[in-house]
Amino acid sequence: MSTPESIVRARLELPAGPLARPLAHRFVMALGVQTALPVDRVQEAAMAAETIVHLYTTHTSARAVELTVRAEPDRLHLRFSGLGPDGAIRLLAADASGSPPDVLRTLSSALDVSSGSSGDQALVLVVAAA
Amino acid sequence: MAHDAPTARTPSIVDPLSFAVTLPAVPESVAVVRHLVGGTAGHWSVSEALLHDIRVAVSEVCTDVVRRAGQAPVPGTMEIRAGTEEDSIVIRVRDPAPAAPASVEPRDPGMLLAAALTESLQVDPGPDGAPLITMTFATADPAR
Repeated sequence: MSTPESIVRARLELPAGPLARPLAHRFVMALGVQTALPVDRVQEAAMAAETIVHLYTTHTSARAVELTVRAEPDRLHLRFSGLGPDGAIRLLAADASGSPPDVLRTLSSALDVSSGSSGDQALVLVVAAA
Repeated sequence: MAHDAPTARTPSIVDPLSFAVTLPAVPESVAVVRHLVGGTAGHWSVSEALLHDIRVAVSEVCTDVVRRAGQAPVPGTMEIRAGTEEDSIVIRVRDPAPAAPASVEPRDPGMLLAAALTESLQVDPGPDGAPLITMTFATADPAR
């Protein structure tokens, strides 16, 4: 798994509740340390995951969210799905006006919103070496 | 080499003290599961000693799953669902092995240790026929 060409995909289903933040953090950390990313970038990816979990529980109607992590040698892809219609847009707007603002854009290398056929949105965040 | 989890789907977990994780059935994933279970500290109503036992038992069962999966051409994925049910913590591990549940050998040292740490450990066929290992830990046990 630690070879340069290796890719790991894993999925965590998180209910809205007290376990969501610690588990999102631990999940990203545990998978991130299997990459070649510097540990501070892995830590930042975990912080971004925690931020997203906090925002989705306060700014979307989602009762549970799914975090899929793809760990590549030089980057982590975090995909939060099940945010509901416009959920990712609302989440990013809340991040932009938060204190401090734009935490997710600051921590990530790329941010993207995707919508499924049902209108359900997903937020995709990439953390690569700086 | 890519280790895949199944594609995204609608989350099915809504109990706030539960979680589900799907991981490649490879040795590195055992540490991920153990680390996740540790994240329940302070949220599940269990003592530190019982949480330690839960982590050991889950590690042993997942290691056993990974060992069996390693004998297949493609390791597949294992799914772990954990949460609270009345006075218990219940953790279910779905084995990716296409073999019958009888292929899970309860006399393996890891399974014996896990069984000793649980109130009960059962191996049943899951919905897809693959082995489903269910561990139950009593949270009301005064000895713990």
